[in-house]
Amino acid sequence: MKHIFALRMSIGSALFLVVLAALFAYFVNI
Amino acid sequence: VKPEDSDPDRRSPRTRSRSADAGTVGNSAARSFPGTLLVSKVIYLGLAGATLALAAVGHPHPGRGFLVEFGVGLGFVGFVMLAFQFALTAKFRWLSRLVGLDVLLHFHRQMGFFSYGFILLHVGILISAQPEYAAYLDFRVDVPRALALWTVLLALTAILVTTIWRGDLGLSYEWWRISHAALAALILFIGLVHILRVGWYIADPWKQWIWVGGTAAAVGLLVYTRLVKPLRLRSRRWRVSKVRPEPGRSWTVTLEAVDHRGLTFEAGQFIWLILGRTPPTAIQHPFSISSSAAREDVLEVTIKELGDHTSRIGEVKPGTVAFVEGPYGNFVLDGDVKEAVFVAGGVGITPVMSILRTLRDRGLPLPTLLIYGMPSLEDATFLGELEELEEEGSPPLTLVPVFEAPPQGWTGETGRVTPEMLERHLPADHPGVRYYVCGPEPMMDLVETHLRERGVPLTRIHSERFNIA
Repeated sequence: MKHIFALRMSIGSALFLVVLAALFAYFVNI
Repeated sequence: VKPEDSDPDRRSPRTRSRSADAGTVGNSAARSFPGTLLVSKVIYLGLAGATLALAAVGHPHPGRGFLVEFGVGLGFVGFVMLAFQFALTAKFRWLSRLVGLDVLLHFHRQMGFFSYGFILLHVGILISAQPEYAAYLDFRVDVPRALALWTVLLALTAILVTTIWRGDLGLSYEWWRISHAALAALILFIGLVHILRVGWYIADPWKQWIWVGGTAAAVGLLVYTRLVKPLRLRSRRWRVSKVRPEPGRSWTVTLEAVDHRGLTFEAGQFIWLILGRTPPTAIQHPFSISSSAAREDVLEVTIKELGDHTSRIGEVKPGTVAFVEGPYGNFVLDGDVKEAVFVAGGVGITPVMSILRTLRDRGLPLPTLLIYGMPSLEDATFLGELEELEEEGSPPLTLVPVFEAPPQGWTGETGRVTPEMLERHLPADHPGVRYYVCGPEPMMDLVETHLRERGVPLTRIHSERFNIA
């Protein structure tokens, strides 16, 4: 269960970081 | 005062004072687990966000289109993730106490895969958005640059391949650890030079210093973990005083502190053990402590022969020098525990044994249930002592042995642990019950899933997986 918990945490973090990179790309282009 | 005494990680007044107060068994620090985890996540993700904000702040050039900037953003984020990998494996005791080293290392592994993906996307997106960026990897354009960047890509791939297929490649654990650290440091160094040389977002000297400082801190953590900490261990020698066989192809190794007061630990925690070598060395392995936490100058670890480095444990001679790094882990009595349920399989009994022995030695009357799965009577490590504990009733223990191959005339539980079997024995759940699960992966998955289905929150389920290394 805890490794699934760790996996969820890492997937969540990775998705968040992709969104951050996209936001960055959006804001430096406006 | 020895230097270790000033180390806040090493002092553990809670453990010392606990025996005086039989009313509260657990350690309240563990209750802050979700909060601390949240803070750690905010720091991790916040810093990644901060680097992007840092890049964008005061930047003089207009954007180069969404795709290019997205590729650049992924590169920055991928680099920060790689830098944080060093912090995740720095074996901070406080973090391991709160989250569990197994969870941290799983997270490290997953984030490693993701950062690899991010770096590949960084390269792929940039080249497909602007084909002229392929020049970065072109030896005809700039030999040192192309060499450095190909080295990074190959080193990242090598780390990934050696981690997933270490066994198939015949790479020893020790060489894997050494190559892992060396490749990681190389990747970070070239990555930093790449960021500084491209310099599009990092032209200001103050920004450059922040990047250099951050990278140096990450590499500094590696040096601290692999060099400084091990060197400090040297002043705390241990000596193997006994190696005795246990049922189930296991050995109990007894260690005695040499000229120091020993190790303060909480029952259920584990250590990294270095046997017959002087740190720093890559040859160290994690083992659960099986002895009582009431004694700090004598430690026992019980090790099962599993066909790897553990298969020669019986050959260790008394008198062998040893070093102990730790303690680590959060498989401990926590919070307001009023009742403890242990489900152990095979050698997973060792941390449970430490907890039960500690409860006995400290006279703590915590009601406990132990469901203990074993292949057969011949493999029943500690069963005799457990039966004695149950009989003496201190702590109040209900023992449920489960034999896969039961001895003749056995009328108790047989086979493997099943949800129905758990239902037959588990007490009614209430906020004071803590569950401890340690054993083979399938058993742990089954028990944890069943507990979750019963509505037990994750914060009350402790598990320890030994496949962390």
